[in-house]
Amino acid sequence: MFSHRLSYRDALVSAVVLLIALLLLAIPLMTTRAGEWLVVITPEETFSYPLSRDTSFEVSSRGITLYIMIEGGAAFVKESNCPDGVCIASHAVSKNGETILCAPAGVTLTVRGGDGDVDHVAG
Amino acid sequence: MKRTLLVLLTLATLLSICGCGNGGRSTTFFLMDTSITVTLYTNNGVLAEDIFAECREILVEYDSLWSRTKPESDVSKWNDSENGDVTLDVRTLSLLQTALAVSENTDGAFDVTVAPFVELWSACEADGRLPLEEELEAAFTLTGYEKLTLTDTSLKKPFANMRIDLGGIGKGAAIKALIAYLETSGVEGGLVSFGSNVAVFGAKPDGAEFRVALRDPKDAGGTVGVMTLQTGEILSVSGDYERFVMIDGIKYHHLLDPESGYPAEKGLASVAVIARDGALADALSTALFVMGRDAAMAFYESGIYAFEAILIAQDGSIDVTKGFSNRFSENK
Repeated sequence: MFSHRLSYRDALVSAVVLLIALLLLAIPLMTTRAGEWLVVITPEETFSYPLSRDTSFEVSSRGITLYIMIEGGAAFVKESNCPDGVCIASHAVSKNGETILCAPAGVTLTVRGGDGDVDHVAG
Repeated sequence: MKRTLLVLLTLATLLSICGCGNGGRSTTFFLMDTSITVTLYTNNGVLAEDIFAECREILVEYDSLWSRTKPESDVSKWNDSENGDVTLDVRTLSLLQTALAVSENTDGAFDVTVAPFVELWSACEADGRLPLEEELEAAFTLTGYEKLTLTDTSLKKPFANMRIDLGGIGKGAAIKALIAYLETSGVEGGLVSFGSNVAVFGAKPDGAEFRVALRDPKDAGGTVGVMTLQTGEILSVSGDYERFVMIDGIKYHHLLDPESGYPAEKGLASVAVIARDGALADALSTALFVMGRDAAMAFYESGIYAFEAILIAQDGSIDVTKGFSNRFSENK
């Protein structure tokens, strides 16, 4: 198929495309944190927030409202009118697989993304 | 033409390089009173969606059998019965057989009849006070696995108010069933997490071992070490930080000692058990926590069951059973 020698221009094009490929591979590796996204799952919907940006938001489900904060790469439940209060007492989550659960509201907050060197955090 | 082919070839290289990081496809369900995540290592999105749907069906079925809140579940029907004369599903009977055997072999450190204590602590939290002595005494009369009799089709009880809770063993059995299905699903590998129960199957795309970190019971953002988990093994963790009630600003965790009716305080903060029987791993993680370090290690040495364990004490010290010492690496 390639019986002729590659021209300088062909080699240049190949080098540029390969460089782009390597950059695409390298950028996520350079920017990946311990955990990238907070995935919020309610009985009605699923949505995500980046852990890299400090923010706060509310989630309402089954008559319960959770006031969630993302601060310094970690997420936690700041306030809630939930009767058992387990979610407020839970520690902040920041690593892949870590979860805060509010059973009465049917809401879970799970950190997803960020490879680290483990497949999961248990416990 | 030649140039087009060359560019296509390099683009293919580009795509293959970018696509090699197969982090897997995940879905999360909220069932069995916990958050369940299934991760599949596959690039076939259609297959993954079909498998997720089947996983959900399997788990809905187990939830329908063992839920304490669904009125038609085996557990609810049994709890509401006069003498336990309820025909139970064969999976429930099998689970109860394991539960009663573990109860007996651990001298009651694990006990499926502990529900009256759990309910008492919840009621006391609502009242903002500790349980009264007479309330604990009343609960004692309604607990005790040895009061139950398992037959071929049902579980007999002497008092109508006796109640069982399979929350400390059912998730382990369900995760085992889920893994059994996933092993035949056509996907090469994956991971299932019920939060405190984790199992893997098959192989990762890069052929590396599955590595699971163990949460630090004193710092939810931290871990104490990493273990390798092999296909067919189920990890179950019980810790004093998982669920609790708050009374007068003090946390009382959910791992109750059936002997006292109070949260077990035998010096352990977290126990991880690894076994090939999911129900066993789940029940033993609770039992070893209730026993405390020395009794737990003696129980391991007795060889009654095939399992390994990691015990984390309140002071942060960690003990690993000898069969697992080369598979758990403690953080330095």
